[in-house]
Amino acid sequence: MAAYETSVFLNVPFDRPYKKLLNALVFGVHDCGLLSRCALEADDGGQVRLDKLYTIIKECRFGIHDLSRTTLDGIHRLPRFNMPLELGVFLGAREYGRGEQKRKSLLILDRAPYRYQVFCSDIAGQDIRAHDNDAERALTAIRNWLQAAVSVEYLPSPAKLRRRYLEFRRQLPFMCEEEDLTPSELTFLDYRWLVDAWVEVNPR
Amino acid sequence: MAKKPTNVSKSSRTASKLSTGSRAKSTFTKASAKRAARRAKTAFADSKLPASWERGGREWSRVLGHFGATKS
Repeated sequence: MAAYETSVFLNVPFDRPYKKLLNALVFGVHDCGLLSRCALEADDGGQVRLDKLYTIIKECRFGIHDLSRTTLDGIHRLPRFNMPLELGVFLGAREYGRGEQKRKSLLILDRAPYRYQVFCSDIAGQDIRAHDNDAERALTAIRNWLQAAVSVEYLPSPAKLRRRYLEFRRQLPFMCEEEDLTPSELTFLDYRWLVDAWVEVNPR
Repeated sequence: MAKKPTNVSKSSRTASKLSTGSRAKSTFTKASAKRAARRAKTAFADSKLPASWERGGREWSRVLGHFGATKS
């Protein structure tokens, strides 16, 4: 399959508490046979951030958009709107793009069902699932969405996916030590390489 | 024979590296990730998930549980 057909754009928060979920999502995507992409992979300070996102979105057929951080900032009393903005770019690419862009597929995650109706009701009708700020639920949500969206021969069951993720996490410190890496300092690319390698060495 | 990760302390492994003169790796590549994954597979081949990693266990909750988002 071409890279476009197997690439998943992760439009998610990058704050520290969310990293637990980001790590699970990356593993889930790769264990389902796809490739995760996100803004963290392009660390070119010379490129405008939105240009990076346009490039990645164009190269991904799939998109996971987590709106759970669309909340009021404690100081400014304003919401963070990067994720809804990037969701809009993704939807626009699908609507106005040509050829393969028309086949884009997306999953929208939020922390509670129907919360989006308060701040972004126009996205009703998309595939929206709640993860309740729980990594296991998010992992199951993306696996079930991919099952419907991707024509692959075999996907791990939710239970198997969770078990394989636990095994990967158990082995991660060992792998890091082998390569003189510190688990808490892994970049997105480091982590993605380790996930990709582990999935390849440990086929389902 | 497979290495037993539980029996090898970090400090002793570091000391072993120093004593044999192996230098610190300066680059991390896809190839080295794969090499590390192979070694991990061998090292953990004979060990099952401990109880703390089983469903409901401490490590299970740490890895797959609630991720502490702020409420508002």
